[in-house]
Amino acid sequence: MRSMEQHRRAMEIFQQALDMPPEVQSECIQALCAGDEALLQEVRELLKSHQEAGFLSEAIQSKIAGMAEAVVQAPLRDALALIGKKLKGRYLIEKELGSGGMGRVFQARDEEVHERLVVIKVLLETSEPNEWLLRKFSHEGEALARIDHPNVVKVLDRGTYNRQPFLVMEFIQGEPLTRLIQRGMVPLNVAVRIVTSICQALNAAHHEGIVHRDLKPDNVMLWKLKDGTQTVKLIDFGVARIANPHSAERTTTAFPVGTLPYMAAEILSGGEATVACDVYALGVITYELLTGQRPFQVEATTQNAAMFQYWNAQNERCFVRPRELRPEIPKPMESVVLKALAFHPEDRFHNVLQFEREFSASGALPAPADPKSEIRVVPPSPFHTAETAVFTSGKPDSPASQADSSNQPERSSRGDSSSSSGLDEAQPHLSVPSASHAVPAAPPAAPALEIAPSKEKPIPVGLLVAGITLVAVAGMAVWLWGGSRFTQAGPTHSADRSTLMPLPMRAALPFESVVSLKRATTGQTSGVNINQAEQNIECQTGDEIRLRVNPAKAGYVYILSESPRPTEELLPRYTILFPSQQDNHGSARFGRGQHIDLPEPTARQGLKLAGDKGTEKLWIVWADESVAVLETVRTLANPRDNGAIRKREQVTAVRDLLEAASVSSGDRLANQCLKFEHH
Amino acid sequence: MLPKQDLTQLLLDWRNGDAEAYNRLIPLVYDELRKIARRIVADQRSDLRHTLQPTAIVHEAYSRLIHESEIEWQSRAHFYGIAGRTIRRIIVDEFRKNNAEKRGGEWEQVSLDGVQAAVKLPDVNLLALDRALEKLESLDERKSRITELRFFSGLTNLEIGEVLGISDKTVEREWSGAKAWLHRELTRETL
Repeated sequence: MRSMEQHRRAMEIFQQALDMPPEVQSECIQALCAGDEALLQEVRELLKSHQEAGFLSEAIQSKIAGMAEAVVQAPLRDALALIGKKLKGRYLIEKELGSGGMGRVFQARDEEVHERLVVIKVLLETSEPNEWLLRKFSHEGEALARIDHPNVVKVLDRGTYNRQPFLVMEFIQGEPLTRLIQRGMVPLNVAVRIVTSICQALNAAHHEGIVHRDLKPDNVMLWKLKDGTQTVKLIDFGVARIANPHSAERTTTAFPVGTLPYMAAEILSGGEATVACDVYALGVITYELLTGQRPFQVEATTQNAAMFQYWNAQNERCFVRPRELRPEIPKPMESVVLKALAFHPEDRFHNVLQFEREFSASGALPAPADPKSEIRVVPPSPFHTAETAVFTSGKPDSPASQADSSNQPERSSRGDSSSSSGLDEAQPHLSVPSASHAVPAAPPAAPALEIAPSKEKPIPVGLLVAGITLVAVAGMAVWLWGGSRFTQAGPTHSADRSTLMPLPMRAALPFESVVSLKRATTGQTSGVNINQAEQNIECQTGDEIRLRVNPAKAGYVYILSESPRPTEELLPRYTILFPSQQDNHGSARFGRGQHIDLPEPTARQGLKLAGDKGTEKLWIVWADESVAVLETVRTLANPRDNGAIRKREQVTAVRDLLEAASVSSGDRLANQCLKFEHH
Repeated sequence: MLPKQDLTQLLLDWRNGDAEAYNRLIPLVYDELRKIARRIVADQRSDLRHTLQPTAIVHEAYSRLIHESEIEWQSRAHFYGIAGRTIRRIIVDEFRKNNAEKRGGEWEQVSLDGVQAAVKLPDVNLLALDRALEKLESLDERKSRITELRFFSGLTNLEIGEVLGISDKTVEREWSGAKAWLHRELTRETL
């Protein structure tokens, strides 16, 4: 009490002293303290401190800001700190595969079991250990461990590291079903086999009371076994849910965009995930496998709009019947798929087994003898225009079951895979002839651009186009890199995207880009034409980039850059580079034969990459009409800020648009992503 | 499951005297602030040092967490109070983690890299600051709150006045006292 009273008095006298003329201050405070030495001492110290405290506030604020930065960087640092660590004395963490929500996914080696690769999911970042989250994480881990089905990714172990729980899961080497679908129509028997496997996996999970909740082709892995056969593995069982339980409510951006098409109406309207939801997702996947497209397609720029439209589309049942897209589909099979897509959960199949039974029967295909249905794959051959997938039921060497004669696959001979591909050459991949374009002989899939240097140093951009060497072979079917690009869709099991697989492109873009790169190190300029949807380009700090876009059709062109981000779950950062208010009279509209140069050919320097390492992306968007989102965003973007898009809603709208354009590459909207890998 | 509403309700409860609500608010705000801080970094990496101030984080948190229409003005003040307290906790924890191995170090003359400051600012031991604030709280709660709101919520004197229901003149006066007291306390500790 004494100290409190003294403090009050000292402060009182201190405040009074501040208003006194300096010459009388000392006398006055002595008088006010009335012989209390301790009080006088404190007041004097306070007055001295007052004079010296000038930088105190600034220093503290600066320190706090520094710590705030450390706080936000902490998860990144924690993740990095895990690399090279050994968990439980046996799992040596090798690298990070991905992240999302609050979890991080690592590749590790199990030193106790023949150095086998495993995947480790760590629940990071719960600064204040959140009891509920920890319980949920371990509970789901246990549930997953109970499933024990050959078509479900296995939980091998679990534990905690620095109080952070982790799950050890089997490492799946393969590609997601998404890739197979993208390559073109899947033979009916292959589709049946895959769907059957998914059903069995799901059934095992449902049996344990686990609903997948996020079933989609990205979470169905085609796992390559040692003997070249592939098997289906379901991944990410409910893990998305554990890792980010509030994602849907807390941030619209964390809501997985890619998942919407697989969400049943009752989920879209806020209901609980049930077995019926998994049945619905299964229906979408099956539809997609059979026809190459999703049953419901919507165009929306916001998440909410998209959700509503999907709900509405399901309600109105406005899909194209699978048989109209692919007449060879047996009628009963079509009925089964459409039943799974019913709007009301009670109109769908009551369980996946029922779906499986009717679906297999509808295809008049024998059920696989072995639940571990295997897909026989043939490595890409440079000598054949098409590789085909052959299914075996059970033993790899037994003859393929080929009930569907209209789509009878051929087996190609084994040839050496292309050596210069830079891909996992030994990896066989499943590939099927597509109706629209033959798969070309395994091409020298361009590992980042090889750009032949030109002789002269400073080349005017106009001449550049003529003087460059084309490496990415335009006109031929173009292959693109799968790349290890993680979507926003929450934590994904990442083995899926870590495998690079060549993919044929779906349609030619309505424009072509010419990139010229002036190397900072050598001063040499080189260029390349790109007309595929995605291209990696290696570059270094100081390299100068010039871009020319040649639209093949009149339309609207927009060019945006996307800065590297430290982790994928952070929002991208876009800058609108074209059109600016000056360019092309501020319009994005282009006639045929016109082209766009970025920067202007008269500019002395090309675009330079900012200091940040990582992948800087240039997005080129072409559309046959002006794109409302981009028009709005570019008028709002601050020109003094070089067109940076800062508002969160705008960033997400742009991102959604770019994603939509990537999916719909076609004659109305298309885009291209040039990825400058900045080392 | 709806944090916005939760938070609003908890704030209201707390304001209406439910002390338990405060304990439930803290973790909510804590998690959210971290996420927000990370997003701010993501959005504006290049001007990191300029934007990553507690102010930015708190304002962002406020706009994200509270339904403006549903909450009256006083609750806004409460929110800033809580946010300031929470950020203080986060920051001091981080400091503690980073400096676990170091001893002492208060007022070391260390330049702050990356900040183009003409003057070298003294390095501050945030643990000492935290302890000092605790002491101040026991002696003079209002000064301690003002300090917290300035440093950890990034509020101006005028805003602090609004939050505490006092004039900005009073805040000004209290703040100069608090600063002098803190300076004395922090320099004393090293001696």
